[in-house]
Amino acid sequence: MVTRSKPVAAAGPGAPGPLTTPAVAPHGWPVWGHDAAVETLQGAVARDRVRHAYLIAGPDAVGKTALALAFAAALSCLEPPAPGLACGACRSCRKIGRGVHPDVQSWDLARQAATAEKSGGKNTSMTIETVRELCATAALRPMEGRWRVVLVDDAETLQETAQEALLKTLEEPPAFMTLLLLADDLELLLPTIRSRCQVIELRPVPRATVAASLVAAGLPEPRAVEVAALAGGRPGWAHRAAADPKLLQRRQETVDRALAWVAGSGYDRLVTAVRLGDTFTKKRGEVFADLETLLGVWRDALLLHAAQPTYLTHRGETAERLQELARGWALDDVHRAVCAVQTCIGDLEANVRPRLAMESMVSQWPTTTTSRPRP
Amino acid sequence: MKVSCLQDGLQRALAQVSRAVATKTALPVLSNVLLSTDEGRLRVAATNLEIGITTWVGASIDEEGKLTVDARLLSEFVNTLPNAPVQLSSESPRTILTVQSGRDKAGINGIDAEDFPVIPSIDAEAEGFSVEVDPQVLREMIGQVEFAAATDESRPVLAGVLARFEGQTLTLAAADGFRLAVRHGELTQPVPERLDTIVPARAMRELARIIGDQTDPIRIAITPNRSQLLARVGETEFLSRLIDGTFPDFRQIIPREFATRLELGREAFQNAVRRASYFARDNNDVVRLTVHPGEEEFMPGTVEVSATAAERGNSQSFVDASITGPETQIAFNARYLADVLGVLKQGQVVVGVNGANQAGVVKASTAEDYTHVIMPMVIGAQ
Repeated sequence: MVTRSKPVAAAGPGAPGPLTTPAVAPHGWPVWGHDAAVETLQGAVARDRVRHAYLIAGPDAVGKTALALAFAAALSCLEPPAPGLACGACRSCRKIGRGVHPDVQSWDLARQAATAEKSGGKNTSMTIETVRELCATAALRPMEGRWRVVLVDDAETLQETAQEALLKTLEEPPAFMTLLLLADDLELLLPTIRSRCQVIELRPVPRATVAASLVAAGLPEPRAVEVAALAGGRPGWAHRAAADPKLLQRRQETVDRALAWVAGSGYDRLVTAVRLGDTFTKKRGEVFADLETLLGVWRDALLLHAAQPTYLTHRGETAERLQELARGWALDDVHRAVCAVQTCIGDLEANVRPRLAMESMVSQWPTTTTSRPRP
Repeated sequence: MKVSCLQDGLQRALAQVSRAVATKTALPVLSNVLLSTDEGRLRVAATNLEIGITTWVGASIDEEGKLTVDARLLSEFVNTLPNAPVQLSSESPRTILTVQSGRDKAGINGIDAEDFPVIPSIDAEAEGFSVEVDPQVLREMIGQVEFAAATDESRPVLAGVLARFEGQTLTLAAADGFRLAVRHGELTQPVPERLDTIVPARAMRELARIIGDQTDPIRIAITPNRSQLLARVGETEFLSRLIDGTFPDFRQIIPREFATRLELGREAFQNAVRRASYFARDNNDVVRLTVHPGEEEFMPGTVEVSATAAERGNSQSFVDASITGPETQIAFNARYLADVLGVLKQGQVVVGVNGANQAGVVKASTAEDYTHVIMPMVIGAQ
């Protein structure tokens, strides 16, 4: 079983910023998309049939924490306007909003780093000590309300021993407790963990919904559409990007790098592949992010080729440049390139030698018309 | 907030609540103390979400308000001030506390009081469950019981001390799977119905520390949702969160009759155990008691306390005892014996055993309110 490590910098959508608190969606929770999941959890609160443990899984920034906190707020609200809803104004709701509610605890890598006995470690995975600490306090009755909500974020980074240590608490938490495990990847958790939770899988949110959530949060519409296109179905990322221009700028830099890679000559492509392959062990997360962007660029090339500009991720100059490049390729060629990138990502996750995986990928890309043979 | 109080009162209050300040915490507000104005006094409170301590300082209040500031920094600063009036002030919504004494002044950055957990007060819970108990009795009871609680947290219920209120009796019990300590004490008035609560052992120790030399009766209350225990000790209020669960039925574990019963001097026995324990250290703390009854009936017998460590050597000590029942042999963990002999006050103790593989009981010969059960260690044939 593989434990994926994750850099701390990839903070959840709860990072502070003016636009990070999404407005309330039509169903009454500040969660956009994921309507089925919201309905399930709202129903559980309204009917007072809350499960002892939920496992909320989905890609980074897709809305796991937002969903978990909305659920916690609805459970703990002192003056719910309707069953299953939170008022957003009472003491409990305000505390949850600020992350200081004593009965809504969040355990994640950031907390582990802040409270760890020995600091200076890499802190890329959740340890058994953290889980033991969680379990030791599990039996304490609530401080302020009726419920205790325990969030275990970054659950995919739980070491195998840590997961095993969690099993007993997960199986039989006290009646007043509900455990919410948030994981980027369900497959990285032990089957024994998964089988003890009600699994709620979150999928990327439709672009229009992400845009609507940005508009509801006060962003002008054209810009909301633009940001939503880049978000890849992740409302959390969209809201952070809307609040933080640097994030968008960094994203554009990644896109430019990917575009330059695609547009380069066969030799340049190989050089980039080798360079990236060699940095993989040290900057795993960044390389994966680069490859995801690269996949988006190739996908756009495919869409441009098929004359489907509505679904484009990248617009403006990037799209124009791609359009130019795509003219020189057959649809088949572009499709093969998309598949090659996907294969490469899969290979890297399966621990294929990075350089080999990358070289193999670029060798399957169609040659550019501008590329010249190696001097 | 604009408050003026005396330095020594503030210093004492900050020291009192400091034990409840969280040291390593994910919630920064928990390393702060809450300062708030409360009916002409300054209320000082701290909590680490397991226990909470609230105390009050006499103060003259010019403007109501509340704020939390770093507990350590504030008390360090206040400790160095001369014993003179100290002014505490803050201007809402800014969260900076200005501490001033004469020409010495500090501005301490704080956190909004709203972020601080709600600590219920015992007065607000007046309609709920509430009892009174003698402080020194309670302190002794805690001391005789809390050490038997489990230190590992794998079974949360055993990491706590059972407090059972029944009739006019308060029973404290703690067990870790190898030993059990039970102590009964009297309440000043009977309770209407039986109530069991489990208090974390750490919190119990803290309560005993707070009681100190206090002589006024202690009021104990349980919040209506059975989530917290509150205790009012003089000017201080103590809060502990309760552990959820059912404590094992300890009455079943306590043997009622003994095949062999020894009565011996506590101090002599304690010394013998201590001598043996130095040798037992290297052999899993095994101390062996060999009981030799007197030659004739009503003749005093002896208890041989011995320990052997293959590498280190061995020791034997003999303690006179009045013994009823046949000769027998049993082994106990030296630390467990030392622990219980250390908390008994009476001069004579009774040890009851039922063979080498049954639980042994240690209690005072004259008082029936304390019982300590120890599981024996398995010894090979000799």
